[in-house]
Amino acid sequence: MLAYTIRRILTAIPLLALVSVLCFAIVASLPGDYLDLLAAPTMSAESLAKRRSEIGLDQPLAIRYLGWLEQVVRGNFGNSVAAGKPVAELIGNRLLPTFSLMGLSLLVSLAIAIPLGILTAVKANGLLDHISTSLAYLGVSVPTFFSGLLAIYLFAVTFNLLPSGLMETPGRGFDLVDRLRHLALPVMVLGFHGAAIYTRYMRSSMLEVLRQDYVRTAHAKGIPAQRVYLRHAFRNALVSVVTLLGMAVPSLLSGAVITEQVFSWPGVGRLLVDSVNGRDFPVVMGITMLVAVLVVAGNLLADLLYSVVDPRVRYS
Amino acid sequence: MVLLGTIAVTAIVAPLLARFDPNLPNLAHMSRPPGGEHLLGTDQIGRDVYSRLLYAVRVSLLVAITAVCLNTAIGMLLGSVAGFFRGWIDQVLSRIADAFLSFPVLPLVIVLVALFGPSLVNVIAALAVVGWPEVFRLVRGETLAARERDFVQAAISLGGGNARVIFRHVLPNILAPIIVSATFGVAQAILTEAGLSFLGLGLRPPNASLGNMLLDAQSITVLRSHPWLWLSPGILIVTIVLSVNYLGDWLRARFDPRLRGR
Repeated sequence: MLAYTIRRILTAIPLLALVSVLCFAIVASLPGDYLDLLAAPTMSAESLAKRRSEIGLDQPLAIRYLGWLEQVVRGNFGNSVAAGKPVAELIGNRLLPTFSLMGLSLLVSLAIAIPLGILTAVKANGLLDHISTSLAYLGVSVPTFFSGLLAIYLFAVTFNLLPSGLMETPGRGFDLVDRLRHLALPVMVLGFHGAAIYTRYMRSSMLEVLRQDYVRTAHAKGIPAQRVYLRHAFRNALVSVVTLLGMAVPSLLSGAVITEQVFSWPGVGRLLVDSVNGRDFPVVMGITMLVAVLVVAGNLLADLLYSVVDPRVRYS
Repeated sequence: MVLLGTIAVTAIVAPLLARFDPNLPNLAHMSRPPGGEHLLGTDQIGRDVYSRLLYAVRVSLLVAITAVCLNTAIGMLLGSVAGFFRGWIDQVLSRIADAFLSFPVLPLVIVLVALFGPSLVNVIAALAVVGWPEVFRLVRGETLAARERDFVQAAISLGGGNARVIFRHVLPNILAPIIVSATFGVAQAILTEAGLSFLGLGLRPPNASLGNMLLDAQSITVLRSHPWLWLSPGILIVTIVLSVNYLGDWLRARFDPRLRGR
């Protein structure tokens, strides 16, 4: 198990290296750099060139890449051009908000999707099934930025129940209740969106399991239906929940980018959009690498969990 | 279906139906509520919301459909090559597709569009780049199965050229699932495009797109007192995506005999 984990981490390195080379190459091959954006029109060509060589923008690509990579391995992603602060620090400040948003949303999604998926599979084509299928259909088709605006309109503007954005009331300092109130709307929006996708998934994998022979055997032995569903069928449907967790990381990241924008949430997604608009490439690349690492880590975690929930899966 | 047809036709003949220039501000008619001369009201600088919506849908559909055509073409070509020849070429292409598939869609599109600048063509290109692996995987799997079927084996043994066998015998027989997945792809592309312009990275203002009309509505004042500005584009996106998804389901039911009669 340990050996497998180590090997998986090692095999992930080429993928990460590929991502880093690709993003560096694309970024660097673009016309224009942030100096074009920053420089005053009055600056002479010479002083521009001098400024470029000071920050190493005139070096050949390969050298700039190696220099960047060396620093990255040491945990240094360079400095943000716009803010002048280390990229690692900028991103680090945004991690907790984004992770708390993603984590809680995932919990909400699963808390809705797993029971609902089981219920609708057990009572397939019942009333609840039809309602939940229609809602899930709607949920997949409503973009989070629209449901986010709707939520703000209803809960923040009309009824004034919850704050419409930001992570905490400005100037108030850390306060758990305040923080949770600010989390409520974005988590709801992102969580419900996920729930719509996962419920359909959970339902179909549970249906699959229910059709198996051993479930019929269990019924035939006279085991109470509830026990058959929860003890026999659900445990096997869990395998697909794990697949779902692996899928969740990328889709949560996509969702977080938009949701953070709607709710002015100070997370990694907004940092990405802001840096992209400001052509702040060190930050963009730092975030891209972070996303790649997260995705690889998510896949690895899912693979390891497989062996926990499914004893047939053995890694050696 | 009917709804979708209506929306599509309206979008195509948008210039005929729009009674106002969608990008022309009219300061005398700022923030008018719906009704009267302006069917769906006007925005803060007096542009007619109804005309802007017509043009926005036009752009959304154009972007989504072109992008999906492109990525389906790429995916079909690479997928059939990988599935037909197998071996190392399949290995290489599959690894690349896997790498793309594991990456979250939106950050990838954002980075791509940011790099090459936000323009109509670049948005389409970025959507095609992130969309092809899905098609690739489907086509590869179907081709692997189709290649073992008797009529394909017969075509090969009769000395049909590889390209001829792929295009004449393999692809026509696996078209149905590809069309279904392309339909769902269009729905996905509409959502991604709208999200992109919502982040200010899609079509540049003053041109209207469904996403940037919502972006304009992000202030509390607009949310509270001018709901027609954000409700109409939002509802329109949901309607379009829902109908495209229904179309996809309907096609799947038609093409897949196993699902028939349900």
